Amino acid sequence: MDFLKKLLALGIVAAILLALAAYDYARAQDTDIEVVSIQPAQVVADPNQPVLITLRATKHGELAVGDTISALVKGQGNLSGDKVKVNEDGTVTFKYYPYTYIAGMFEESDVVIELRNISDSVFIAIQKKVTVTIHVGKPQQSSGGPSMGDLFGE
Amino acid sequence: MKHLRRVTAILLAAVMCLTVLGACAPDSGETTAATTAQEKGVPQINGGKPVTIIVNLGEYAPSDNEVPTQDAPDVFNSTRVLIAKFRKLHPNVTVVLDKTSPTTGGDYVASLNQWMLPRLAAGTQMDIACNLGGAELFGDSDWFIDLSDMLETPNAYIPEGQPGHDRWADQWPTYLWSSNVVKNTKSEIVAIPYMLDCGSPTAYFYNKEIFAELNLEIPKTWEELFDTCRIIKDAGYIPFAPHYINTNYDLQNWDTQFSLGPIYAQYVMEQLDYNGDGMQDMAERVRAVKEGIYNPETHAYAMDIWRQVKRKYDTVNSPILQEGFETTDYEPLWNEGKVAIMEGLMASLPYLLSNTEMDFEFGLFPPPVISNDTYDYLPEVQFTKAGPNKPDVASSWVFLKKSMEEKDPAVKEACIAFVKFMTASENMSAVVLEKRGAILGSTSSCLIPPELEEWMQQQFPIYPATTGWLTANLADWRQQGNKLLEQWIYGYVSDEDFARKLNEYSQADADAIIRSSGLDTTGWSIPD
Repeated sequence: MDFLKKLLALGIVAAILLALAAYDYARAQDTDIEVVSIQPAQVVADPNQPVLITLRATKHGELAVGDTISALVKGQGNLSGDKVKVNEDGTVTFKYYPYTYIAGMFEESDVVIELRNISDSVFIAIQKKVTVTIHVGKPQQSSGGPSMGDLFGE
Repeated sequence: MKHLRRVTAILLAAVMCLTVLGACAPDSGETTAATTAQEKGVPQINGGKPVTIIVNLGEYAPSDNEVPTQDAPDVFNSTRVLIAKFRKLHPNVTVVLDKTSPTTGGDYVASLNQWMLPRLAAGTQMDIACNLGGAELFGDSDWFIDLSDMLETPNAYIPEGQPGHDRWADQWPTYLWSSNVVKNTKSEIVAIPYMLDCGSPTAYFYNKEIFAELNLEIPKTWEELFDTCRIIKDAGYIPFAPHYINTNYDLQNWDTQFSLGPIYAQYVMEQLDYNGDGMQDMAERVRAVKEGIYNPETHAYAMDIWRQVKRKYDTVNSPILQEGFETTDYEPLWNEGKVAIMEGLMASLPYLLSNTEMDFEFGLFPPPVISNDTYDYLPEVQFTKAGPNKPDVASSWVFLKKSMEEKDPAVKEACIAFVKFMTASENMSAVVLEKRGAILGSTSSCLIPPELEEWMQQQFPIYPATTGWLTANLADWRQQGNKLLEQWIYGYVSDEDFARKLNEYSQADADAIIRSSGLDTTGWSIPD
């Protein structure tokens, strides 16, 4: 009997958690992140040619002003910041610095950036994931960005 | 039965023949290693035979997870890719990563000692490392081998025609070879530069809105910092949040290292630069200690520098630090916009850029330095138009003597090749860029990370390359000096006793280095 009571208690807890998760899952489906622009359109493997990725975030039919959008780079290259707050006009901009092209190591590739509105969950952090894929091509030539030799002056 | 014996004999003979033929046939692994290395124009290691090296990459070690996730978003992959590339070139070399590290908190030098001494005694040390502080900390401890000859050899991992291909040392600027991180008191090069600080390994992050509200300029001198903090404090903000490392009482705290020491060393440069090469190395430092240049008992300037440290830590009168600074968690206060200046490591920059808890814009500037506006006998500090002046070594490669001398020579050969590979500019750039502005590369062709664009527009102080104001270098004497500094700042020890004991520790430290390094003191003017 004790065992059955414990099982029942566990079952109730599990059911509650599932319900909370389902609620947050349903809420998450009503959030959206769409790409407004990627500038420049042609991305090359050169960190001195960064890319501005502008997005619009909405939730429950309205602009998600003040929410935090997190971005995760699945691949090489860096973002200047991986969490940015949504502006008054509902947009948010991430700056992506491509990796440097090194033959045999870091070549042309598709970099996937995962985006989530991490402000929206109520109970359990379940967030809808939106991905942006950027094709990073081989640069024709280096942009000639600064190198340490410029600092050393030798 | 006879038939069975005949079959068995034939089978045994066949097996023996095959075994002999197999021993005579070339090893496919060695053939692969030879082919791969030769194809790429790099020398084969250990004749293609297997060799294992143990490497500690410190903060440049690849992260456990390769792919970032929401729960573990921070990954570090460039060194993983580089090691894989090295293995492709040399399939016979196994690179084992030693991911151990010293404990954090407390005295840094003591923690390194505690980490390494038992390992050296047990023979479980790494073969090469880039997180052991270089010559500055252990260059005289006989832990590392002299690399001077090695640097004269070619680096085949650098393309022909580029600096470093014919002579490895050529890819670095000459000033780095005088750094006290690289050269010990016997003038041996015991560390190969890997990463440099960004002009300063630390920065002062500041709240741009508070500065704009109070119409403040970025302070460039130590005195301007006090004046700026006074205005900020009067306006009701917290002027300054120290980094937790800089809340310990340390003779080599960040103020001594970056704000005070270099200018005081510049002030007495004529006396410190015994060989007249425009720089001060570790051997010259020891001589200066023995000749009393740093002695606060006999030189007022040598006491003034400590008075300035005490001035900052005096929470009653100082506009910079407040009572309770040792235990205050400043991060939430900074996020709320209540702190005007927050001291931190350049390595914090990527995290601050992603900090959405801040509702204000922040900037960063290099630590202000003391100048003639504090003491008129000091030189007036000169500044660059933009960008750091001769950034110093932040991390360097060392070769553990115990491994190099006691293990198979193939280990040394493989270690040399690995470090040559890792320090090729192209490979170094990959690591630098992934660090997102925390560090700079050390070779002339290494790229500057774009995250440092604003930082590179700042003006940086110009001073000669010296050991700063390093009064004691060995762990024991340094720890005793730190304790003394704490007692003096708290008023338990008088000025006179502080000066006397500090000099005693410095002298004992210098004597120990002279003995262990066999420094020739002929011609030194050592007072009685």
